Amino acid sequence: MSLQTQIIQILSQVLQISGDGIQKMGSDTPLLGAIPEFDSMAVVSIITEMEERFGFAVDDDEIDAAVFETVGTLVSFVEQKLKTN
Amino acid sequence: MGLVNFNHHIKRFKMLISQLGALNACIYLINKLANILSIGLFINKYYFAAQFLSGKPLLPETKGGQFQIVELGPDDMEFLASLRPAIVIADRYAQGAICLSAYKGDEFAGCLWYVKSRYREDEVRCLYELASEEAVWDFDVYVEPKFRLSPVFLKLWDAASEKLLNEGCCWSFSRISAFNAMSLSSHKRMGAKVIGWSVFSRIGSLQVTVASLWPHFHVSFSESSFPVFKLKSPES
Repeated sequence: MSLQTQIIQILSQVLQISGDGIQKMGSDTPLLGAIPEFDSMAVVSIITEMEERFGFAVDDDEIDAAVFETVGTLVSFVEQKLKTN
Repeated sequence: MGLVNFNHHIKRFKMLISQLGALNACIYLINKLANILSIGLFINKYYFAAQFLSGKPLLPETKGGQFQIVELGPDDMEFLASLRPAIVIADRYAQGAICLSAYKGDEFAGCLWYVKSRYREDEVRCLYELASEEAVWDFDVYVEPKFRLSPVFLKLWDAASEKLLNEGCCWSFSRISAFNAMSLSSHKRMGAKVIGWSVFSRIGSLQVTVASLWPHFHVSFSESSFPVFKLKSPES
C-alpha cells in the first residue's frame, strides 16, 4: 500500500469520511479550510495515529498550517519524518 | 465572466447547504445580505449544546506539555481587554465567570470562560439559567491564530474539565452559532448533545426570539426585557 493511500486511510478514519469522498481524494485534495471536521482535535488524532502507524514522534512545534494544506503536503511531511527517523 | 461568477456563487451556496443545512444556509445569507446592505438587521441562530464531562482527557499525555494553564482574574483586565471590550470582560467577572488561559512560556495562546448558575448573553439579549448545580455554562473559547492547529484547545478543555469535576460539576452547556460548521462538528465529536435552538432577529431596539425551548417566542424592545432559557442536562 502506498504512503499516500495509508495517509488517506488515516484521514478517512479520523474524519469519518467514506464512499465518494475517499475515492476522490488525491494529492491535490485540500484539507484545512475545505473540510469542516478538520480542527485541532482532528489534527491531534491524525498525528497520534501516524505516530503509532509509522513509529516516529511529532513535536507540537512541527505542526503548522502548511503541513495540512493538502493530502500531498501531509504525505511529504510523513516522507520527511520517515527519512529523519 | 458573468456566467462564471454565477456558477461560482451557486457552487458556494451548495457547499453552504451541505455544511449548514438548507434552512440555516438561508438564515446565514439573509444576515449576510443585511450586513452588506447596512440595513441594521442582525439575525443569528444558535444551538444549545450539553457536554458531559467524563473526566477522560481528550489530549494524549505526550501532547501539549509545553502549554501551562493559569486562571486570569479581574487584575488581568488590561490584557483581557485587548481581546474583548473592557465592558464585556467586566460584566463577565461581575457575573462570577472564570477565565482559564493557556500560555506557552510567556506567550498567550488562548483562553476559555465558564460560569456557574446563570449567564447573561453579550451578543443578544437573553439569559441562560442552569437547572442543576452540577452544570456550568462555557463560552468564548478563543485560540490565538498561530496556535489554532496546536493542542492548546484540548489542553484548555482538559484543564477546565478536571477543575470542574473536582468542584462537582459534570455538565457544560454552551451555545454554538448554526453558521459555524467547524464548531458544530467539533462539539459533536466531543460527544456534545444538541438540546435546543434559538433564532434571534434584531433591528434597532427590537429583538424577536423564536426558540425550541420555553418561552419559545419573545419580543423585546429594551435591555430590561429578555427571554430566559432554563437549561437541563439531557439525562434529567
